[in-house]
Amino acid sequence: MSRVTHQDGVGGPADERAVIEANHFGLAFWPAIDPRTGSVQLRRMTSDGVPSIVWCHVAGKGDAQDIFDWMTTRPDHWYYWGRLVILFGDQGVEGVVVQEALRNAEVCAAEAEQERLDQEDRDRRHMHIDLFTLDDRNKRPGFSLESGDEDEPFFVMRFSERWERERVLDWLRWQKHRFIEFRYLHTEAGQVALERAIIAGMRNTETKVKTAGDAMGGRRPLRFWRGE
Amino acid sequence: MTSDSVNPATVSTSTTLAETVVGPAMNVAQGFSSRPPSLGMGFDKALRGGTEADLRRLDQELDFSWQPDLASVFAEAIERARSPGSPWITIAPVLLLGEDGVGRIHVARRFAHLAGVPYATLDLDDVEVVERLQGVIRGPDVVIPTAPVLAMAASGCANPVVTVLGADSVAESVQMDLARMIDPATADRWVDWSVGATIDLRQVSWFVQARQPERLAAPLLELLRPVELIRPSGTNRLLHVAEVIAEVMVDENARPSTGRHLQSLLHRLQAMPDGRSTSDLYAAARRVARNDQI
Repeated sequence: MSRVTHQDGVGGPADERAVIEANHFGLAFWPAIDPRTGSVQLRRMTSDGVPSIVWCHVAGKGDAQDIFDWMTTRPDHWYYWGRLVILFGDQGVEGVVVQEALRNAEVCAAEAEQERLDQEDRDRRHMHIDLFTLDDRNKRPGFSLESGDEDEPFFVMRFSERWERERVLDWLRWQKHRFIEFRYLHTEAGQVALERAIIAGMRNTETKVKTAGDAMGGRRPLRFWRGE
Repeated sequence: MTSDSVNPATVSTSTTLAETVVGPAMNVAQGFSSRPPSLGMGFDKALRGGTEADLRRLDQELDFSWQPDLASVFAEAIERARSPGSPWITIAPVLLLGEDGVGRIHVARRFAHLAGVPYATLDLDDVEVVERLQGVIRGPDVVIPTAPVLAMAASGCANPVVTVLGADSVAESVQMDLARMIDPATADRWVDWSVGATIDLRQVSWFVQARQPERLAAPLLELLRPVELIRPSGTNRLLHVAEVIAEVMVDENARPSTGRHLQSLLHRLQAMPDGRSTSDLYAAARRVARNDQI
């Protein structure tokens, strides 16, 4: 449970060693944190040139760090918070700083979690690669490989004749487990390398299937092949 | 006007049977006859705002850093109060300029509150106030003192803060009467028929407002130090809103019960459009303070 204390000039030199102050050159008020006690502070320079604590909130170590981090990113508000302490006492800052900072920390945590989930989803969809046949009007027949998180295929291969495309697809449609590998190859070695790998894989399989006596005759030896 | 213009003979630490004044005080009234001035004006009046506690409070709590002209006026007054011989607070007469709603009354009231001196308004837009100023007597009507004299009588303080409204909308003769109240050369013998005495107004802190300063008579204008108030924006608006809420808290004798209530109040006022006047902010804060019991 957190508590709020109001101090002025509390804390001797021994206590000061643990305190981390925000950069505050020339500013009237600045935040500080005492990680040892889990307290966050607002300090000001006295007329004697000695830092003085005008507000101190013991929030626990995790919350204190969140509050301190939130405060340090808003130096244009330090003076305002100092004025709130002067005008309304500790609770003037408690509402504006502590509650806002903790709410912000909650929002940031929720956003980070959402971002993590989104990233997981993007990764999952990125790894999900689909094979599409391309029969656009006025274009040569072809096929494409496309990740679930992208609008454009990462790989397109075109053929002069439809049967050529079908011959490759007879083999490729049974290689789904290798699509990720194809993507890496495309990324690392480029379009031509992947084309060569696909053609080589198809021919290699055709040879094996013919040797085994399972191949069909004609232009599409793997037409009724069902993978390995 | 400076504090040095006070005749030291009139400044004393006074203890009488009728009124006890601790600290610096002065006799502000000189009766027309052997009868003592009415409304207790014959008793010494305190000169307030110069104790160490007052000055520390002014140092720490009075903040109009976003109004640089005003901040320097206050700083000079505090420095003067710390100097030997005049341990009380008095502001040299100022002419508050700036667009409507910028917070002229607010700054004068905040200063008065933090200095611990009474605050009064001399509204020259009010015909009766002008008649009082000019000593008009209507048959059996009770003659009421002018605002600064009434403030002295009611509070026992010789150095109230007085805001003057409508100075630029009255006839030149009225402006000249006002100039006589403010001018250190004549302010020590302001004739007030209602109390039957001449009154020393030299320690009054004058905040004269004018929408059209060019309509002020030259002798009056020469007595006033122009202070241009600017409409705060950005972080300064946050500071301004906080000051207005602090003023409401004083007026309503209230304190925010929790940080959440204060935060809610700050958010509601900060959400008001930038163009809203200080009096609008004040009214909204007071409404919330009264309704929400903060």
